[in-house]
Amino acid sequence: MAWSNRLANLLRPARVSNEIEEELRYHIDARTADNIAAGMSREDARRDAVRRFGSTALSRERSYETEIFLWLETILHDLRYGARSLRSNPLVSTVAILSIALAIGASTAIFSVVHTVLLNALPYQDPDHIVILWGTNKLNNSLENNTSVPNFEDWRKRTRTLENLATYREVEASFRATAQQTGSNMRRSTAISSASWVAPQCWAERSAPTNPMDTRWC
Amino acid sequence: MQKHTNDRLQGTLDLLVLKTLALSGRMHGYGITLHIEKTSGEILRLEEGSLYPALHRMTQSGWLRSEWGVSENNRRARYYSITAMGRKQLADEEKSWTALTGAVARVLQFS
Repeated sequence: MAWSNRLANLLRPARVSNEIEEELRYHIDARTADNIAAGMSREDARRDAVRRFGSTALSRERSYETEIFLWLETILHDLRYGARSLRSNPLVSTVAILSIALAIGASTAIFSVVHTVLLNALPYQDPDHIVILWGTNKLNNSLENNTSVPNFEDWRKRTRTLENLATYREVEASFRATAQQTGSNMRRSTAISSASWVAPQCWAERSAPTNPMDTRWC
Repeated sequence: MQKHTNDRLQGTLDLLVLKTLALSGRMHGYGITLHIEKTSGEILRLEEGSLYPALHRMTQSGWLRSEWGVSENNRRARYYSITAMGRKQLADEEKSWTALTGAVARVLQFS
């Protein structure tokens, strides 16, 4: 029997019990009807059906017990057996437990990466409409995501496919630390051009840019 | 005395039920009772109430499948049919039953 059925039985004991009741009643009624058809009086027919059936209470109870508890007993049996064999073989058990722990750790790590990289939507409107433009260097046929400012300006003005363009560039720069701050003041930063829709949190505390080539440190 | 007969039958109840369902397909409990009575020439009389715990147990073990249907007289009844696992179990039990009765017969004939 399917596990889903077993769990369902456990959660709906009243239903299981009603169904058993209905099943047993059907049997006695059918026997009574057959007896009447064979020529018995209604009373005799009923009495004979009940006598042949034996104890309905016992039948009901046993059926109910198997339906609800039988598989539970099997599980407990398996668990006890499992615990005993783990105890009797500590080396194998330790290796098994460590492997499982390692596997759980690995899956959790992989999932958290998959979750942030693949499953979580990017924090932009219509993230599936965002693309990166690459250029080809004709001299050595290499793909490059660098371009010149005039190129970018041309793309931005003439595009018919894209709603808007923005450019970014990673730079390393030194920042002067304030009196309270200590440690390294070398930071890897990204300079982003004007389009506030690319990195809203980066432009949030600033007024909207006017010049398209305005940059902002993020 | 009655109880004794019943006990002896109890051990073979699974076998009888599995065989009945293997031959006749889908049946409700009452149908199984009638079939066993009729084909055994009325010699095997089940205590009918004891059939149901057995049916439920065999369903839990995966030998039978149960579903509600509508009976000949238009009432809701629970129907049982045998599963592939049940057929395997039937083959095993038939084999051990044949071995047992054969052995008993040989002992009885030895004189």
